[in-house]
Amino acid sequence: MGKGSPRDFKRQAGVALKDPALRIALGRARSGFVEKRTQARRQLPEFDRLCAAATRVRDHSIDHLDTLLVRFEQEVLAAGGQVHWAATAAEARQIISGICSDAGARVVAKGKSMVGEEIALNPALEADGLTVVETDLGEYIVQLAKERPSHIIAPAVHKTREQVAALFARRHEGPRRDLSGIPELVDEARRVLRRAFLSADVGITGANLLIADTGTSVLVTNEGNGDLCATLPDTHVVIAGIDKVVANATDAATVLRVLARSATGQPITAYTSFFSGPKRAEDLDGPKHFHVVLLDNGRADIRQGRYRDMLRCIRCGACLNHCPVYTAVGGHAYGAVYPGPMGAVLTPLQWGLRESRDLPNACTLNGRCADVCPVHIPLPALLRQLREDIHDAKVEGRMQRWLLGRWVRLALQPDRYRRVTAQVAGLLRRLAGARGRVSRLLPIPGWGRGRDMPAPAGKTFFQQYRTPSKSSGDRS
Amino acid sequence: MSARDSILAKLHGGPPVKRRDPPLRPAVHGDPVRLFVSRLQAAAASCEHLARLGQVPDAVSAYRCAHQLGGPVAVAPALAGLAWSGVGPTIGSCDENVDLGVSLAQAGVAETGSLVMLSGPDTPTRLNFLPDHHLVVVHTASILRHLEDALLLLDASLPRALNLITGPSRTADVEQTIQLGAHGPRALHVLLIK
Amino acid sequence: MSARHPDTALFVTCLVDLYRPQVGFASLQLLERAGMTAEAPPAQTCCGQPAFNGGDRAGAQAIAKQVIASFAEYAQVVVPSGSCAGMMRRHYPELLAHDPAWAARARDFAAKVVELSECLVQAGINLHMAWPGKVCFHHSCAVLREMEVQGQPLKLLAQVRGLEVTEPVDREACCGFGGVFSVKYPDIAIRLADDKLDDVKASGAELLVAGDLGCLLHLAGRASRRGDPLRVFHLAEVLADQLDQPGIGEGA
Repeated sequence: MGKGSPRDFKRQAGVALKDPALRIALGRARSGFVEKRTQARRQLPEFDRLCAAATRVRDHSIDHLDTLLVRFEQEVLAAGGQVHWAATAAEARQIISGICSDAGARVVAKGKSMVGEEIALNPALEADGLTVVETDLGEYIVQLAKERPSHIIAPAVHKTREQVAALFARRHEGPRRDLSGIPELVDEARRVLRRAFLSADVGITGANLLIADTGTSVLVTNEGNGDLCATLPDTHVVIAGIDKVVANATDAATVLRVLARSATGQPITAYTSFFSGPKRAEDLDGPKHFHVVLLDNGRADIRQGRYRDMLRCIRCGACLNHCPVYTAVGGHAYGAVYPGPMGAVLTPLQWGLRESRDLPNACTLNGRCADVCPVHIPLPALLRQLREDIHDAKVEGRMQRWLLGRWVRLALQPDRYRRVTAQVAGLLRRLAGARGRVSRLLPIPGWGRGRDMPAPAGKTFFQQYRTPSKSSGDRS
Repeated sequence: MSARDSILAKLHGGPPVKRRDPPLRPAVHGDPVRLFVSRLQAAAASCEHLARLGQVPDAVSAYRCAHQLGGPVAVAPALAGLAWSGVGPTIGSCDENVDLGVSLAQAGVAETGSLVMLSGPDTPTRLNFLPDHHLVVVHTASILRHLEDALLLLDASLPRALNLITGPSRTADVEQTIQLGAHGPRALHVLLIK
Repeated sequence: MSARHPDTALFVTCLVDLYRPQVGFASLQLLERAGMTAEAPPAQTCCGQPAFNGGDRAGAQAIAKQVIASFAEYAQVVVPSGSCAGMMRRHYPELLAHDPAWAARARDFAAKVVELSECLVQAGINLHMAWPGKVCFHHSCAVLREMEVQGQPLKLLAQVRGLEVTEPVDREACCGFGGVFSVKYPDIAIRLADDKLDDVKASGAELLVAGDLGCLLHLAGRASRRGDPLRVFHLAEVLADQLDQPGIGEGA
């Protein structure tokens, strides 16, 4: 599913900025998400302290991943489930493919899972001849459109209702019908997807958390699609990163309190479900087989290095919603599974610095993402570290490297710096003339296309300035 | 080396440590039942107070009447002992043809307005998700203050599924506009028993 | 001129030095009016942000050391820019934390750094000025989040009689400058400037004011290209009563 590449960020961003429908969709999302989170925070006096507590919970988890994962495995086995470990995306695909084949599956119903996107699960299962149906409405929309999610909690945030209506009209069978309103669109998806739930042999969901003490997988949704995936088919497969485990139910509650508030502004989502194994002998419903696939795919390495803080991430999407770059260009411009600030950290770590070098740089370092992160991930600092790694590996643009080196050398020689800045100021003033700004022939490439360059207002400060203490002779 | 061993080998974290910070819970002021009801209503559920469990079948009939529901009804075995003759439900789990499911919550959580639904032979999970209308019976005496209190039930009985339900199914995936009834129930009605 | 040994240094910043020297002179004037004896040490160049944010840690460390050394003798270092002040106060100590010869010096230095509006409010300046008009104040991200300076600029502006002060609807939104970002990703930077300028326009203000010259050059450059009849000034110019002078990007 070639959906762009991080390498083409600039071009993809340029295309996105010219898309008027995208601008409308993103503008709507930005104001909505920001406002809802602000209100949720205001309504809970303990919110900031709960975030600090959630941060400690996640740090504890990451510190003790080995013991917690082993305990989790034990408990799942004790409850009658199976646990599979996958070091790479390919291993994870193979395991799930095997489970589906053992189940004799033809139809797979999927709940929204970013790990599923990360391991590119759908194409692999489809290559096995399976029909894979995404059941989260947003995820279903992007599946129909043959796109990838543009937001980690709102996959179709980039689409307007008119676009969704046109997509449904094109891809769904049936007579002409009214699809003009959101209720009609949601009803249509409900009708189509209900059939998928009922015919599915395997349900695959992600997990927002894993609880070690009880071997429980926690799933947070608003639609109830994840619960149908976990209840109706005979086999339920949970796929989760190894970073998702927490010690116990108390820790889970602490994280849940800040998760939905940070994501959608809800105190809790409509459905928060805790799955521990397959159906019990006396149960009237539920899956007969229960599997958890634990995916590493680089996480253990991230844990050992200086990006460890990133593993605290609970995938709430608040950093995306508050990122000026994300809300301007949308998720697809990033050309990666995880967009926005958290994605700009994860993508280079998972896919390589050279391939993804634009992502850590396409950030104004305004710091709002770190401000709203419920688990205090220092995103700007991590992005800056990545810029250092890019610099150290010499994979940034050559021009940029050369200019920066010159600037640093100049800054370290104050006398020469004075002479050069005086010359530059004079040049810019001459270019500007009486207008006070330069509109053409801009000496800085990249500035001039949409902006004038205000001209220096006179000679430089230090050309004009005489140190008072120097002139009075009491300091040299 | 298996994937399990190679992953675990990288993750060595040292001995478990004693956690110092006491768990933090948001304050729950006043009557937990009132808070529970107001939170549930804020999540677009409706609530009704009943004096006795025996009034549940009549309340279900009245609900069906008010919503003009003539289709099949399924009732959790936990409530099989009530006088259902006026409703004529199936007792047990349900399929997609059922209009209305009636189930029993193990508890409620005041902090969030959540119903605590445990899977089990007397409380099948499908009732919570398949019917368009979900009616849930909860005893006010079982309303707990905090999420942690409800999650103790995990340790205690470890059901296959524990579902915290807070309002009917919804989606905001089209234009961030909340629309009820995405995949699960379109309406959630809670019958609180004194 | 006071014979007293100046104990307050102005870190002019490279952008003020080059583009808007009057912001430096206005800052000195305001510091004196607030009762301080201030000067601008001539050995200063840049705070090192381009290197630090561009991934050149060694370059940033070298510049940080130069700045710390050239301001060693002052009790206080005032900066008319939130982002440079943030660089010096927040990031110098972390840049030099593992350098035994410099770690403590960097921490001591950081403790002396203060953003201009923060300094003026602390010193209890009295402005005694009036200007009839409506100004929209843009909080630069560095001022808001790195320096955690929230209300000081508004407090100072409130002293100006007749001046109506508003903020953009989303006061915390970034204007899209971001230093090298604005040159490397101009299309995105311009979109963010447009969003901010639309907000400013909606506020009905005829003046746009901020405490960071980077944001202002970017916004003024975009505003004049759009043809917005907006006058743009640094906060120090407003407080020093220089609104009768040409704004940023205006001809003489």
